[in-house]
Amino acid sequence: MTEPEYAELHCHSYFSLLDGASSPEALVEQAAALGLRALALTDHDSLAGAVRFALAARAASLHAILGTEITLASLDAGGSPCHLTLLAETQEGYATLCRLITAARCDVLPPLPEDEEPVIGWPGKVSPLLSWERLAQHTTGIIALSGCARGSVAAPLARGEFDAALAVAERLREMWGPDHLYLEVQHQNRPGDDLLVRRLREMARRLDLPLVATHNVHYATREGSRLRDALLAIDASVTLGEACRQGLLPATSTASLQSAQEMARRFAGLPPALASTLAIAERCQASIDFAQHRLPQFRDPETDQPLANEFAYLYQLCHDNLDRRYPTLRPAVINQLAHELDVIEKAHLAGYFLIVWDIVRFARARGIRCQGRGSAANSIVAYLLGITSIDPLAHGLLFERFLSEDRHTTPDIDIDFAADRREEVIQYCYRRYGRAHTAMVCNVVTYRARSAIRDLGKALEFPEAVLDRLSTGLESHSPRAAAAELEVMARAGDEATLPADHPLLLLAGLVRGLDGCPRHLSIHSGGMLITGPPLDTIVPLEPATMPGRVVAQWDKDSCEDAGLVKIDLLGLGMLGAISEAVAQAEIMGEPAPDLERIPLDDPEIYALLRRGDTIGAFQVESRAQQQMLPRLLPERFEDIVVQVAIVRPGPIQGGAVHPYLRRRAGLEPVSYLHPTLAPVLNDTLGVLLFQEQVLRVAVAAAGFSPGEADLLRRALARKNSEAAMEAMRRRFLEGAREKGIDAGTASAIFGQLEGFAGYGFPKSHAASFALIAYQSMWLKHYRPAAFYTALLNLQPMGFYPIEVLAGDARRHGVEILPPDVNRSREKYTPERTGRGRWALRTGLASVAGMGDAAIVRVLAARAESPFNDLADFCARAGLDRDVVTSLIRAGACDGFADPPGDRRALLWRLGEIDVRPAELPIPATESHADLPDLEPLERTLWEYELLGLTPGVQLMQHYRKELGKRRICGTWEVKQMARGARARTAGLVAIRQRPQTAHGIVFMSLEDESGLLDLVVKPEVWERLRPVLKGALLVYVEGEVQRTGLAVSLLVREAAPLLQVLEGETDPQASRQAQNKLQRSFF
Amino acid sequence: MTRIWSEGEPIRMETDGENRPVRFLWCGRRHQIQQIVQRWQVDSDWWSSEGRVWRDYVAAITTDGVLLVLYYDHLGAEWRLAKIYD
Repeated sequence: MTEPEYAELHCHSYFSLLDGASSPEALVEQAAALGLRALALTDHDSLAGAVRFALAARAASLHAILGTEITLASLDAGGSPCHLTLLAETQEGYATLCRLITAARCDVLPPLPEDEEPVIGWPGKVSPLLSWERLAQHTTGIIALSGCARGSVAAPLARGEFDAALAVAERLREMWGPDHLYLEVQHQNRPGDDLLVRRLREMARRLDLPLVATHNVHYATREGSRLRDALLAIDASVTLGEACRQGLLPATSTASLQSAQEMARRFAGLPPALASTLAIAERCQASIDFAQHRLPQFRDPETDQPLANEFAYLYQLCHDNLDRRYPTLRPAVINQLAHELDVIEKAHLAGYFLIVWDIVRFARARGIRCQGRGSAANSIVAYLLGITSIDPLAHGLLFERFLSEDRHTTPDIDIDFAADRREEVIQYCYRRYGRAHTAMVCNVVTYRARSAIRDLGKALEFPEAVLDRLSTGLESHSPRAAAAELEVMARAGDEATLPADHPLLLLAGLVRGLDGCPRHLSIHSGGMLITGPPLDTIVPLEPATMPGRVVAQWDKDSCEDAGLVKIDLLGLGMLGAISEAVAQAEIMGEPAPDLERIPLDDPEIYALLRRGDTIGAFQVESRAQQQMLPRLLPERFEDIVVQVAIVRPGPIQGGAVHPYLRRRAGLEPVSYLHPTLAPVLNDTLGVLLFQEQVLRVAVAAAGFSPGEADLLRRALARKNSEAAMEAMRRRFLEGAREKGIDAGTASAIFGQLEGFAGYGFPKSHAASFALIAYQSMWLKHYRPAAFYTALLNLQPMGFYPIEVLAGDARRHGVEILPPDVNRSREKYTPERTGRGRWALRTGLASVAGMGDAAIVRVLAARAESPFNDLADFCARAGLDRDVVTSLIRAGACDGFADPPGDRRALLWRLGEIDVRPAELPIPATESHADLPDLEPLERTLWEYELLGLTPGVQLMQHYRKELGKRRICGTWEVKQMARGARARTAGLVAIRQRPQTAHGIVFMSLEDESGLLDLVVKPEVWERLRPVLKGALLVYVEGEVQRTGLAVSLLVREAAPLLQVLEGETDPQASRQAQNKLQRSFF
Repeated sequence: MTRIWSEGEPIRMETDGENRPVRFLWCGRRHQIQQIVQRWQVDSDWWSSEGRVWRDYVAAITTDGVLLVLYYDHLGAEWRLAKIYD
């Protein structure tokens, strides 16, 4: 007897959201292990996992079949939807699949307007449903199987409705013909399976249709069945027990991949049904590779006609711009340009550059600030076209990191646009290329530790309080790491006695299973696909939550692997802020020079950088950057490039930071792991700082071609499977051996590459960002009022809360003025003060409770004439009493007060005024109650509560006297202390961070009126002091002063809530109230 | 649909090579399986405090013409008699 053979044609991965429990890769691995002839992926109305599936199958030499299980309307009106399995037989069939899935998901959507009109009636994410009419329109190249027990034929059969089932089967046969339709039989040892198989056999005999056996796989191995049960319960938002009672869970655990032997046993009486699987597998030959036809032909912006020769056009554009970018032409420029153009021509990418050029051109014409980021800045062509702002030659950038001749993958151009105007650019792409050819790439949102524990814990009936405790106590973000943590928690104490079905262990096991499991698809932050052929023949589309937005079912990796070109249109808050600052400076009559052309060598800017005086600036403002700046001591633009790149997990994990700093300071000699690396790492003193260096190291040390080196970089960055990494590693070691590098050294070099590659910036990217950093520093230093105005108006952005930005503005001579109903506009605006300096007037929108309508009313009434007094304001602005109360408390009505600024008196007055908008002004009777003056602290607290910042003073100033009495220092004093000194200080917790690279150390920034002080909290101290450091806003800390160069921090030993420390002499109840108020307003 | 997993009576079962029931002893009498009507599996309730239920069920007719439901309990590795239809 010959060995049985089998191909599985019905299989769900976890891209059948909340139904499948295994990754495409796990399914492929198991199918290969079982020796299956082929495997089809048939996720519900989705090809989201198709590229990953196809790649994994190729790597495992398994024949992959692309398919879907589509959700089909009932044939008779009113019936419930049913399933139908569709497999792509040909390439055309693959396009059909995409169209059908798109139809199932998008047919319900309202028609989209072609221009920027609002979309009416957008349903957001909807349950997919395909109509029979649509199905009938698209049958080419598809083999249809009748579906699972919920299938179009089996469902009525299972209910004993033979005639109804017959009608459906006949309809399907009319549509596909007898060669392309199979009746699907499944046997999963469920009660009733025997009977259903018998009935389907009878049906097949009656209609003379072939049978095919499938197994409706939902997980790779039996262990996956629990996770699937849990997913089904999560999907229904009920507990497992309840899901079971509602009959939502299969009673069996048999929906795993089965071997040919096992299937032969199940269908011992039906050899033809098994033979069908092989015949179908043989016929299905569609693949995923769209590298050949990806881009639309570029249309001449002048004539709107398709360009006959895109390359010639690009060539001309580049040469036209040479003068502007390189006033003095050098041979190196011409050579580099010629080389790049040659590579671009061979790779047929001229059209791609033109499309990007056109988008950038549009943005510039509209005054939308933009700049290319990432590896594109390695290209002189991108520089000439104005896509990027960094001269690749001046910075020794490597074109091969962006695009190389032997590169197998597509390049990637990412452009940052002013965040507040990015949508205009996206809409332009839709208009220019048409909605049929344009879509956003999706982002596969996967389960994180917390969401996994929450969802699974609910299914397992964990009490809410326990789940809160578990998920807030977690240190890790990935479900895998969290599972390990849970196991440690469970085993703490009673390792020996813990039963395997202990609830925590059960939870841990399931949480681990959710690692990488998608929760839903969302819109990628900016990835835009633009294709020549209609998109719905390449990848299915589905509606996103955002009105009018349709996303492709592939994420950026899948698009790239399928050979598609995407353009990342990203929103960058800082570009918007720079635009706004420039505009404000113009209004203030102090216009800034063209920031694209300012010299990058201003010593004052570097002095600020060396001091770490960078709050609000792009990239270099964070706590970690501020600690690094006084150690790195930047002196020229290249140093800012390093600065941007070095505070990254790559260099940190690669162990590059300390050697770099020591070598830079001349404390240790520059050395290389091997002499071949000297030319590559020379610029960065022998350490790996930039991604380009990964490529160059692979070329220099292991003889990789540039393209191969880039594949290595990608493999490292994406953390490909261990087997793939091992192959890369062998190839590297082999190459290194041929170069005469001993095995130990080669291994060490590879280890550094591994540690680095995923989390480092390309130098081109760092340089692009460094430029924006410099521009923002320039504005901060030379146009501070305009700069802070822009920052405050475009919140949230950057690293710091607005209170810190306001404090920084104050320290740089820009006063923050409270809101004023007679002066404030909607947002923050610069205002000249009496002393001829610029201050920022807080906008009305900053006051909690002031909605758009209220602001419009105030401004309109004020335009007629300024408000005379509170009564006049109430009468003419017509605001609710609550809103007026907020305005008074925030200080916006201080001008009406007598004595000035007496807010309590104003509140008293408000009580006497009829605030209903009256046609006749009601004469308000003057009265004056004898009220105690508002405590300065209380006033500040009110402001904090309503504005999120305190215009006049920093909170800590109110406590300074008390602190002085107790010999608790200001942070500025701590910064003067010697290394190792014991210090006691206090402040407002501005930032709290626990970087993954820091081994559990927590970094905090403490603010007082003088600035920020960095706190370092070791894990054991954090454990002890967590309630204080996490809970209190104002804290008292004790610790040791640490100094590294000019950088100062405090190593925390003790901490306490500040108000508790002060409680002895202040009113404890008042301080508790103050504390509560702060908590509410701050979080 | 509520599922109730009642415990059956333990029986001594002889099976064939593929763990299919052939004959068993119950109440001191020998019963011979003549025909297996249906087989199905249950693997459920792994989350509940009562514990997991993992059984291979068999509906069979004996040579005496009695219809029975038997199951093999994977966790206890034993056969039990769940129901008799007289």
